[in-house]
Amino acid sequence: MILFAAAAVETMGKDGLFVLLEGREQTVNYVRTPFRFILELSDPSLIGKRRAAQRLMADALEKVPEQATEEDIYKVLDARLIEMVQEVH
Amino acid sequence: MTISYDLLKKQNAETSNALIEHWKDSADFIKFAKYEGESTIERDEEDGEKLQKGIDFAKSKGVIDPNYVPEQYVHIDVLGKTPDSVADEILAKVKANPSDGGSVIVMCGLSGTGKGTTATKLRQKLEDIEGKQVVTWSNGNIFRSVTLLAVTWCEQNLEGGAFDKDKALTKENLQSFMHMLSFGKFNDIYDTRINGLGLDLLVSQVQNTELKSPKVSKNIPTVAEMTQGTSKRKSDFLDSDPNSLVCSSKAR
Repeated sequence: MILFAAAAVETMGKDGLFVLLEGREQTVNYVRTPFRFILELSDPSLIGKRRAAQRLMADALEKVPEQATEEDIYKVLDARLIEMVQEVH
Repeated sequence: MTISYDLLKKQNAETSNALIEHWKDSADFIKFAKYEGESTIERDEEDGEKLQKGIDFAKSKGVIDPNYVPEQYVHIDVLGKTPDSVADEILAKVKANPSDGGSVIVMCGLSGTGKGTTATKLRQKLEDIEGKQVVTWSNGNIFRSVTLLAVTWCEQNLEGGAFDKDKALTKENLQSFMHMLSFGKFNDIYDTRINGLGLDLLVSQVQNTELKSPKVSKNIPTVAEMTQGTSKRKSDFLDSDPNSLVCSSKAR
């Protein structure tokens, strides 16, 4: 699968497209390019907070209507947080 | 910052920062974030070990050159930086070494470091300011998509529906799953479509929901390990032009 991705990405790059490839170092190593960046986070606690927030905000977007007030949104978010905590503990 | 519908709909770093701030004193959020953080780090370590195992296997089979050395990486600590400023930092280095036509920009890092968010910002800058045609590609989303298909196959074909790697990840099934993925233009943007086993999804729309669900997240390392070293040539995987890319695997 990593060779599949490498082949696809290199072909697109040669075709004049700018390809932004993100993935684990072991898999993106096999694409030839001088532009290689590793993003690091020196405060690891933020990783969990960001991930938790991403799951909750994606979930809430599916549940609230477009006319939802801020109060409605907070209610859904807070309720889902309680449910998700119960699911994992 | 209050969380309006417009902010919620953005589904970006601004949204997640607002939620983190909203719940900064919440014991429940701290508990949930701790669980997500520990799970993420554990999964990253497992990912790394299994990917390396798969790559070592591929090298032993001659699929990957054992002497291959990638170009050097630039390390960027994203703490305290916005995705916008990280994107600017990357763009400055790319512009310092301009190429004719297109280029490939590789970003890696552990989960939670903002790879996807930064890729979105970079894409906006390259398209809107630099006038380039840009495609974003996430290897992780491809692994997640195949994992989703494998998990769905188990739910539909095995009694009890639990994930069974030996039954789900046969050569034939993997080939079938890869045929259910296609890369091309959907709704005017380049995207990957997952179409099979009753699913018809676009990765851009489900990357933070179905593709990050627990049933997918916990099984990705296993899928990643078992999908390496199955072909002799890169061209075995690619049988279409980049504007309408069908993922196919001629696994042996």
